[in-house]
Amino acid sequence: MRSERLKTNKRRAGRGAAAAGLAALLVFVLVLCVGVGSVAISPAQSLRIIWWKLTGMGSVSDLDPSLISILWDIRMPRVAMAFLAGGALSLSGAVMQTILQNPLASSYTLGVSSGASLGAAIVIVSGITLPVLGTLLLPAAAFGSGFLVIAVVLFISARISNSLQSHTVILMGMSVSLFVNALLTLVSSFAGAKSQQLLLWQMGSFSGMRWYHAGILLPICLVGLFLLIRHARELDILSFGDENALSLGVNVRQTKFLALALSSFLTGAAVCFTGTIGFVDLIAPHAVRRIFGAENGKVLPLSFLFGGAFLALCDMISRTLLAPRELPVGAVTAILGTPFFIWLYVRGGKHG
Amino acid sequence: MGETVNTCHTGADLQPAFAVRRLSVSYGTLRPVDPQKCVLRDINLEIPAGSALGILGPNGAGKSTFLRALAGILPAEGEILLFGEPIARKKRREIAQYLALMSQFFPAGFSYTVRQTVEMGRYARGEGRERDREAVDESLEEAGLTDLANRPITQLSGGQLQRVFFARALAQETPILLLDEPTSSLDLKYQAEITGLLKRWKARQTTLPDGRTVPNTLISICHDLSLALDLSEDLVILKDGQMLAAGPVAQVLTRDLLQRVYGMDVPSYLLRRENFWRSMMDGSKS
Repeated sequence: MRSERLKTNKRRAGRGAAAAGLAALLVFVLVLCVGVGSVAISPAQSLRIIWWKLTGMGSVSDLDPSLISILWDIRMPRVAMAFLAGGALSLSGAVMQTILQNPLASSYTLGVSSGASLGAAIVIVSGITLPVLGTLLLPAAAFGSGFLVIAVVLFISARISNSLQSHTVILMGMSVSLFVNALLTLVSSFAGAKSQQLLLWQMGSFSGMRWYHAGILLPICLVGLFLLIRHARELDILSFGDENALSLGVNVRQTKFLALALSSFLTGAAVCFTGTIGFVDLIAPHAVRRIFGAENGKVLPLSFLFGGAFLALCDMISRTLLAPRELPVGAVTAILGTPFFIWLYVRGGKHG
Repeated sequence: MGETVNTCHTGADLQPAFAVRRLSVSYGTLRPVDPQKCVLRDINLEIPAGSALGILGPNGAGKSTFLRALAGILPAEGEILLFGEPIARKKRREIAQYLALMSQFFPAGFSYTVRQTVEMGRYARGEGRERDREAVDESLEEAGLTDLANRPITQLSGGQLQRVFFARALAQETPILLLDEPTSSLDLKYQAEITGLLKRWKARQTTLPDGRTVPNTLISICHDLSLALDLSEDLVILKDGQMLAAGPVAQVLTRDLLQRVYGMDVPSYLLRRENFWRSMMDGSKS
């Protein structure tokens, strides 16, 4: 019994160290991402500029004003968006894997990305403009149609299976997204000269991100994170399947509905600005579980941080590796992520 | 109409743990109860609090379905009263304070530790951190899992996993346990230990969150005749979704009935083995 407790304490200390390490890594990655680019900005300079912008204290008169503008107006919002989008996607992936009890499930399985792509394609191909929304029309259409697809999937699933059984939801999600993909192909065939723009959107990119984008995504992430962490215990129990969850006293239908809706909302909000970016939602939660165990109270926030840092890093690599040419960030995430993921699995964590 | 399984250990004022009226369950059809597709048909049964009820029957008789219907997790026709109140009108959390279900399947998809898994049994009851930890510690010890508490459940054997889910059901601290073949994956030692533990548990009482104290009720599906005899005071025999017999063991378990249920002459060695098992259990207690 005593040795058991000792072991627990040791384990706790180990986890604490790992969490501190992750936090340090996070700060390091973000400073690195802001600093690296066509114009190099040293970490000291970056921190000085950020401090000055945030508090108005200190002096930056010795620095080139264009440096300040590059850092504050271009690079920081881009890094912030990459971080938030990576976080939102990973958080939503963690939730989907848990409630659908499927390690390969994500919001993409349920057709969010196909729906968003279709909405974006319709706007791009038709060339519609709406003065009220301006440049936000494209993300609004992508978000709206992504959410519409999820709503259809959940509506049909709920009709078939009262408790939204995992395999029903997954099968319906896959069939509906195949249908939507067919529509997307149809719309794309009319794209003509605009097919390049359409392709770029589907590959996903963080170029052209501004502070207001992050200003929209940040509150969505915070609210999603807050609500999902509040239901972490129910999600833990749901990972054992509906029958177990029901007999332990969880309101399965309500919890599933909330979790599916929230994680689809998060994915939709992320991809509508950036285009579809895959993979990070799949690997970040797995990596976190491998190191910190399966409890969602930890997995959800840590997946957010880890996924965010990972995507920010991938975006930095995608814009610098062959600069000034920019690589599709979705490709970079998979090229870097796959070997890392395989290494993590082969090495074997404590929580295999 | 309704049959009462009763060896009567209870006060007259206490409602039966379960009163089942005209219960029918059907799968695979959107319209409720298509007589052709019924898995359970027109079951009437009263189970007094404090019973030890065994459910017997051949494969596909509807035993597991019956157990899950009692747990209120299947859409069913008819009525199930849990301590006198319709189970269909109760919230999930409240039902989980009355009964714990251990099914035959033990999913272990994510790497929760043994302790974390057993802690999930406290979800409905939740009486504060200290009390929860106590209950979890007790359940772990009773299921012989104290040494495995920090092991991820993905690294356990089938029998160990079965004990984890058993411990989780115990941690729920309910007055009713619904067990689907509780010892199917266990070796001889744990079979004997868990059977002994269940008998001791059955003799105790449980205080509900509302303050009432009720005698414990054990309802278990037993494939193994000898286990059924050992654990149960009363038996229900199901075949093809219908209840063939219900009552005290000695009344129900006749060679004639077994022949009708299983469609074969029950070999006499089974009865001998039962005697052997029984004597071994009695020996282990002393």
